[in-house]
Amino acid sequence: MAYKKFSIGIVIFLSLSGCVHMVSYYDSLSYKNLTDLKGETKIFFGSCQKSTVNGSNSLSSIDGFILSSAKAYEYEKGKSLNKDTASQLMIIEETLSEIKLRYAKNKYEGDSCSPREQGETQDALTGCLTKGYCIAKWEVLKTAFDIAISTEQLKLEESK
Amino acid sequence: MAGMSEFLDTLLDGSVDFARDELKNLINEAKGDNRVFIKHIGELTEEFIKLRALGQLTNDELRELMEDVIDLNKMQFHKLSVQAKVRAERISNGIKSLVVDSLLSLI
Repeated sequence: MAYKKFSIGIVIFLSLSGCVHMVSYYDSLSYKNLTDLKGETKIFFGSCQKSTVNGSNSLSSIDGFILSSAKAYEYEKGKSLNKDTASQLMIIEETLSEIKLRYAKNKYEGDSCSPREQGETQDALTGCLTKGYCIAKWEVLKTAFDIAISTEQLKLEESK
Repeated sequence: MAGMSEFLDTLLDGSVDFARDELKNLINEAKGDNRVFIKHIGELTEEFIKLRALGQLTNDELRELMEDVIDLNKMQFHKLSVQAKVRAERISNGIKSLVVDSLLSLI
């Protein structure tokens, strides 16, 4: 009896509500934001994995990634039925922000990159990233981008 | 190629009380999983510990990277959530179109 009432309830609900939407539609701009950012970071980490990166050019590249990811996050946050994707973008933004913090925690001195002494003031302008960190961090970022990109692709299923 | 035991031997003094077997089992279990994502998480964990053993990462960097791996799990959870919602949406709309709109108007 309860099952029958439930089934009737579903039918009434569906007939009154039109199409059911539980998740935002596939968005080509969201997809482009993610693939562009993945491509840009791939180039940076490609060179970073070969040799230590330091200096203002590298720092401004990292700032650029953080800015792009912050914009992408705000874009996703503004859409309805999009909490999952917005949460993913927030994690990507935080992961990219960590790179700048790491840059400032290290010090480039005499052609080598090493952690600053305890108590020493952090300074991104004199900072750097080591090859080992870049190898590992790129593995994380690549996986994060692939998850977010494939999530957006899943939404294409809606239109099939 | 050295395995987890060798990496842990490099990192830990033999007398240190650490759950080596539990960590090795955890990583092996993940790497042996038939789900691509879980397998990948196991491989990443092993690779990062290896980089630490080789002196290419500091403790602080390893901590950051392990927290990143936990975040990747959260991202995957959101992906699975979207996948489930898309499926539920397709079924609901199929019921609406085929049963409510079509079948019920014919019987």
